[in-house]
Amino acid sequence: MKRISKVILLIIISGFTYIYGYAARVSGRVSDAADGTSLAVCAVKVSPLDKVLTTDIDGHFSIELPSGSYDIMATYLGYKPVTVRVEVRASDCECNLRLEPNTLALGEVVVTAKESDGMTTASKIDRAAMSHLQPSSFTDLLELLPGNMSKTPEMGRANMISLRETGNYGASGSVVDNPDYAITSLGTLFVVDGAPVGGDANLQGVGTTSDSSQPDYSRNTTNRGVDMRSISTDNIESVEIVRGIPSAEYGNLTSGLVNIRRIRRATPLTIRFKADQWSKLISAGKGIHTGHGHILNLDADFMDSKTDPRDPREGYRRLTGSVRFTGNWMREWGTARLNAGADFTGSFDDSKADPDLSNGKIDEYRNSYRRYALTLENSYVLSNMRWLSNIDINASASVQDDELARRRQVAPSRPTAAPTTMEAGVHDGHYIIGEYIADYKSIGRPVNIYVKASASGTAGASWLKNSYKSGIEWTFAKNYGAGQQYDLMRPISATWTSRPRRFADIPALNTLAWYVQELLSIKGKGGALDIQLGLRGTSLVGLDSKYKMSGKVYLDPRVNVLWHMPRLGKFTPCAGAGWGMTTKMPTIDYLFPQAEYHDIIQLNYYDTAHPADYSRLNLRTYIEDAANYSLKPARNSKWEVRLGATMGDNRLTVTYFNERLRSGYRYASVYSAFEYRDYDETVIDPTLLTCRPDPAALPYAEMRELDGYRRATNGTRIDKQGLEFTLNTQRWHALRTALTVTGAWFRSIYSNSEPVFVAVSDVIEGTAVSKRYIGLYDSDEGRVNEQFNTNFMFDTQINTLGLVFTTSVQCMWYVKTAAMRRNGVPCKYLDAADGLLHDYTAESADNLMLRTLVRTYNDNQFATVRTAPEVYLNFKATKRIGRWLEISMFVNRLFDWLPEYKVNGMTVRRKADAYFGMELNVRI
Amino acid sequence: MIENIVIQKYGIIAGAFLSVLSLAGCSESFDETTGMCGVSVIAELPAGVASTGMTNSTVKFRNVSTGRETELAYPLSSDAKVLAGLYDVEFAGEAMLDATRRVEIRGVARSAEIMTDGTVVRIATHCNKATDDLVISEIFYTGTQQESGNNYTGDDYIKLYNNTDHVVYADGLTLFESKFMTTQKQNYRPDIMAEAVTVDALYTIPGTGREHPVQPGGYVLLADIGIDHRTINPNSFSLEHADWEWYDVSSSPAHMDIDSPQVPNMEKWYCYTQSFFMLHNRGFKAYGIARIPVNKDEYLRDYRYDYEYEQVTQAGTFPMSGSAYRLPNEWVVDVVNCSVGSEWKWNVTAPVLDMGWTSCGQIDADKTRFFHAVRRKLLYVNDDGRAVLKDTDNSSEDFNSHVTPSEIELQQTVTQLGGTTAKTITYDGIIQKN
Repeated sequence: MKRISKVILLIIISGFTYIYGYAARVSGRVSDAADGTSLAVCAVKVSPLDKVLTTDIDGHFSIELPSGSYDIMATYLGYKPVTVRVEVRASDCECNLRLEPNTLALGEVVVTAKESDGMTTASKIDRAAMSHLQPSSFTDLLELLPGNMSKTPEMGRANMISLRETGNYGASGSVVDNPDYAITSLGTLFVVDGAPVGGDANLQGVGTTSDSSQPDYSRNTTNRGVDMRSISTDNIESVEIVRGIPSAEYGNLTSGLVNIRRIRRATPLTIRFKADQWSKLISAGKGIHTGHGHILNLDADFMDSKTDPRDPREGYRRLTGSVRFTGNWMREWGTARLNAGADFTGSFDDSKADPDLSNGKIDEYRNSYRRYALTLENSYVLSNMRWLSNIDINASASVQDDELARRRQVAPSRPTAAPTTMEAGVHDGHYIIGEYIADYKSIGRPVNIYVKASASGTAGASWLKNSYKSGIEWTFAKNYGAGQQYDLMRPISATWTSRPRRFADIPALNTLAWYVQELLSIKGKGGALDIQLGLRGTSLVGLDSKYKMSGKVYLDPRVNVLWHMPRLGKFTPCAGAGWGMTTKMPTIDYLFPQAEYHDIIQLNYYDTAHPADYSRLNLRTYIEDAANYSLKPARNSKWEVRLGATMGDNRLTVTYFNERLRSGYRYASVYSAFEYRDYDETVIDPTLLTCRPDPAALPYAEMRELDGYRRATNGTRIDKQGLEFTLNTQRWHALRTALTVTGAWFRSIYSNSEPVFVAVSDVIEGTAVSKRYIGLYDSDEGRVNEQFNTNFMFDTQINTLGLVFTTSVQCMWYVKTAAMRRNGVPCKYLDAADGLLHDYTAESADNLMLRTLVRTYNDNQFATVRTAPEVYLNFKATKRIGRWLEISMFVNRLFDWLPEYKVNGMTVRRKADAYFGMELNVRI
Repeated sequence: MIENIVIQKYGIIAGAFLSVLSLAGCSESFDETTGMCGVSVIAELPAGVASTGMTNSTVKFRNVSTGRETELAYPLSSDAKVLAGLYDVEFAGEAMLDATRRVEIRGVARSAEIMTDGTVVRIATHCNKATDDLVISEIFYTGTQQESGNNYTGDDYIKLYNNTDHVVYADGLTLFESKFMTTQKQNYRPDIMAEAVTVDALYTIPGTGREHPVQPGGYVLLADIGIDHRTINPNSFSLEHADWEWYDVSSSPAHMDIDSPQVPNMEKWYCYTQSFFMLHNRGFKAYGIARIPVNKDEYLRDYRYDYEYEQVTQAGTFPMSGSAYRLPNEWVVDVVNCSVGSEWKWNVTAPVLDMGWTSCGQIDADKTRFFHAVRRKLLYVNDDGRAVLKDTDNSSEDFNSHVTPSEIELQQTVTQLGGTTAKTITYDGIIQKN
C-alpha cells in the first residue's frame, strides 16, 4: 500500500516538475552522412519522454526540454538509426545527427514475418517480405503466420481470414465452408490507415436459400467480413496482424486485428507485372514530394484471374486506385500530421455456365463491388503540454456500390407454384407453367461512416513511466440499396419461397465505443516491466427498445503484461501474458434479418381443360419476423502466455493461447405451429366449372402443422487453443543464409452452443413426424480438430549479385478430427397440437411417433481421423538487374512428399499441383 | 482403395484357382495356344424337378467383356470349351412335373470366372412362373426435355398389359418401387431378397375386385400426373387419358403435386418421401406390380423391414440402418429391374422374379436417355391380332431397352429435342405395327 501511494505521489510530482521545469531548447538537423543532404520528414524520437518529432523540409527539428539527459534518436528508411545523448542544462543546445546509408538494410531484406516485440502477440510483415512473396492479394500474406502454409490463390471464391484455428473440417479432415462459423472472419477487424473496413451493412446474396453448388454460395460475404481478394498488397507499407489481446483502442472484433499501413513516402515510379497459371496482375505506384515535407502517393492495380484458364466464363477481376496525401506542419505548439486518402476498390465476379455443356441452359452470375472511401487521419503532437502529448482524430466514410445479377433458365421438371403475395393471409398463388428466364438483382449501397478521437500522454520518471490513452469512436453503417429485385411470378428457382426486400428500409446500425488504456512501464534491476490495462465499452445506440441489447454497454477489459528480463549470459529472455475480452456487435443482417414467409397450400386445383383460366391455387401465408430480439453480441475471452529469448540476432518466441467463444452468430431453425384449411378438391366437377372454383363452396378440414424458419442466434461455439512458435536465426555469413522456423499446434472445437431443433424425416402412417413433432437437441454437431505444422524458410541473400532466394520446406505433420459425442436423445420436443415445448421423458419414448425423435449414432461416427504428413518445398527468387529492373519467380510445391496412409482400411493417395509464376518490377 | 480392390480381385482369382485345383485336381491344363477352357455346368434344379425329365435345356455363355454369346445344349458335352473370361451363364430348360404339367426352368450365374480348364459353374434354377395376370409392358422414367434442354419429368408413366387370353381385373393391383438401387450394392441385413422385395413406395389401384376389367391385349396407363403436359412442355405429350395417377398431398408450394380432376388417383399406401413420388429419373430402381392379399393397415403394420448395412468411407465404417417395407416374392406379379450399363452392380430382386435388367442410355446421367422408355418385346401376334409379349422373367431378354415410348408414338410428338415427331407405331419400340 505504502509503495503504491509512493508511486502515485511520484507520478503527480513528476508531472508537475515537467510542466514547470523547462530548461532549454534542443534543435538540430538530420542529414545524410555521405553527401550531407537534409533528410526531411525524418522521425526523431526523444527518450525517455517518447516524444516523436519529424524534421521539416530542411531536415531541422527543435524541441524544448526540461533539464536532464536524453537520448535523441533519428530513424529514416534506408539509413542506420543514430542515437545521440544530450545533457540538457540551462542553455539551448544543438544536436546534429548524420545518418549512414544502411547498405546492409537495403541489400539485406526481411523476407518473412517478424514476431512483434510489443505488448501482445502480433506478426509484422513489411514491404520487402511482401514483394518477395509475390502475392496476388492480401490472402497470400497469411502464409507467413505461424500455423499457415502457402496456398494457391482461389479467386473463384471469397477469401476469408481465419486466425489461430484449424478451420472447419469435414469427416475426412479437409476444410469445409460452413456459414455457421462465419464469426471466424467476421470477428477479425481490418483497419487500413486507421479506419476500419466495414462490412456490417453488406446484404448481397441470392435470397436466403443456401445451395453450395450455386456460384453465390462461395462468393457471398454477407456476415463474413472482409474479402481479402479485394485488398491489393502493392500499396501496403506494413501489416501488423494482432493475434493476441489487442489494445483497447481496437474493438468490434472477436478474433484478431489486421492493421494495414500504406505507403506514405516518396518512391520512384514502380511498376509490377505478375503472371501465374490463373491470373495477370499489373500495378503502378509513385510517391511524390510536393514540397514543404508533404507527400502525395498515387497508385493503381488491376488483376484479372480465371478460375480455370481454359474457361473464359468464370473469373474474377480487381481494380483499385488510391490517392494519398501526407502532410506535416511544424508549429509553435508542436507538429500536425495529416494523412488523407481517397480510394477506389472494384471487385468483380463473373460466372456463366457453358451453354454447350449444359444443353443451352442460361446460368449467369455477376457480382460487382465498388467501394469509394475517404480517410482522414489527423495527429497532433503537442510539445508544450506535459500531460497530453498526442491528439488523434480519425474520420472515414465509404460508399459501396454493390450489384449482384443472376440470370437463369428455370425449367421446373414438373408443374410447380409461385407464391406471390407480400402480405400475410389467404390469397391465390400462381402455377408456373413452362420454363422461363429468371432475372434476379440485388442492389446494395452500404454506407459506413467512422469517427474517432483519442488523446494520449505520458508522465513518469526514468524508472517508471506512465502512458495513458483514451478515446471515443462512433460507427455508422446503413444500406441504402434498392435491394432484391425480381418478378415473383418468375422466381430464380422453382421452389422459391422468399420475397424481395428493399435494403433502404432497414434501420442503420450505430455503434458507440469508448476506451481507456494505461501503460505502466517500470525499469529496474530486474529488467523492464510493462503493464497495459485497458477497458473498452461498446453499445448500440438508437436500437429499438425491443432488443435486449438496447441501452446496454458491453465492457471489454484487457490486460497485457510484458517483462523484458535482464541479460542472462548470452540470452536476453522476455516473458509476457495477457487476458482480455473482445466483442463483435451483430451485423445489420443478423439484427434485422429478412422476414420469413410461410406459404401453405389450402386448395390445389389444376384444371386440365382450362389450365390458365380455371385452375386455382389457394395459399395461406404467414410472415414470421426472423429477428431475434434477445440477440447478444458475440464475445470471445482469451488469454495467452509468451516466452521469448534473444541471443545476438537469434530470436525465439513461443506463445500458448486459449480462446473461448460461446456466442458466435449463426442462423438456426426455430419451429412454430401453423394453422390452415385443407379444402377437398375432389368434389369439384370440372365439367360444371365456368370460372375458378370458389373455396368457400368447398368442404374443408382445419389443419395444424409445424414448420421451421431461420433466426439469428448466438448458437456458435469456437474454442481455440494452441502453441505458436517462431525462431529467427542470424545470417550464417559463409552461406549468406538465415533460417526462420515458424509453426503452430492448433486445437479448435466447433460446435453449437445452444440447443438446436432438428426435424426427422420419418413418416409414420402417412404423416410426416416433422409436421407434428420436432425434437430439441443439446448437441447436434461439433468437431474437435487439431493440426500441427512447421515451416522452415532458408533465405539466402547475395548482395553482390542482387539476388535473394528463399527455399521453404512446409510441413503439415498431421491433421486430426473427431466428431463430438452426442447421445441423440432430445431434451425437449415441440408439439404441433399446442405449439409448446415438452420435456422428452421415458414415456415419450413409448409413443410411436415420438420414438423416431431419438437419433442413433454409433462409435464409428466419433472416431478420430488423422492424416499423414504433407511436406512441400517452395522456392522463390528475386534478382535485381541494373538499377531499374527486378525479376522474380516462384514455385510453390515444387517438390512434395505426400505419403499414402490408411484410414479405416482404405488407402488414401494424395497429389499436389505446383503453383508458379513470375513477375517483373520496374523502378523508374 | 485401389490397393484393396486389387487385393480383393487377386483374392477372387486365387480362390477360383484353388477351387479349380480341388475340383478338377490335376487334369488337363489351360490351353495356352487357343485360350479355350474346358467348362462344365451344374444346374441345381428346383425341388420336385428331376433331371431326367428335362427337355430342350440349353446353357448360354455371355462373355461380359466382349458380349459374344455361345449357346450349348445341356448337359454339356465333356469337351465343351469356351474362351477364358468373365461370363454371365444362363440356363433355360423345360421339365415335366407330371404327365400333364410342363414348367420352364430358368437360372443365371452372373460374373462367373472361367479362367482355367475344368471350371465348374453352378446355377441355381427356379420354375418360371406362368403369369396369368397383367405384366408391365413399358416404363417411361426418363422424362422429356424442355426447349432449353432441361429435363421434364412430370410426364413419366408405367403401362401394364393384359398378355393373357382372358379378362383380368386391375382392382387391387399395387405398383411398387424397390427401395434399393441396382447401382449401389450394400450388404443389407437381414438379407430377405430370396423371399421378398424391399420397397419404398406402394400405390394401389382401388376397386372391389371386378370394377376395372382389362381385356386381353388391353393396356392400363398409370401416370405420375394425368394432365396434358404440352401446356407446360411443348415437347411432351398428354396423359389426360391415363387410367390412374399417383398423387401425393402436400401443403408446401415448394414441392407440390398436381391432381388431375379427370384421372382417378391410386390409393397411396406408403411412400418414403414427404414431397412427391416420381420414377427414378436415371433408372436405378426396379418397378413392379403386386397383388397384396392383406389390407393396407395390416400390411403397413406387419411388413415393415428394418435393415442394417455398413457404409465404408475414409472417415470410418458406419453401421447404417434403414426402414422400408418388404413385399413377399409370391405376391409379386411382375417386376422389372432398371439400371445403366456403366453403373449396374446387382439386381435388387430375387432371380426368380427377374433374372436380368433393362436400361435407357449407356452411362449415368446420359442425356440421350430422355424421350426413351423400356418396352416389353413382342413375341408374336396371334390370329386375333392380339400381341403376345415376351415374358420369361428376364428383363434383359424380355425388354427392348432405350426405345421410343408408346405414348410418343401414338400422339406423334417429338422423339428428341429439336427432332422430328414420331411417324411409326410399333408393338414394342422395334417391330412396326401394320
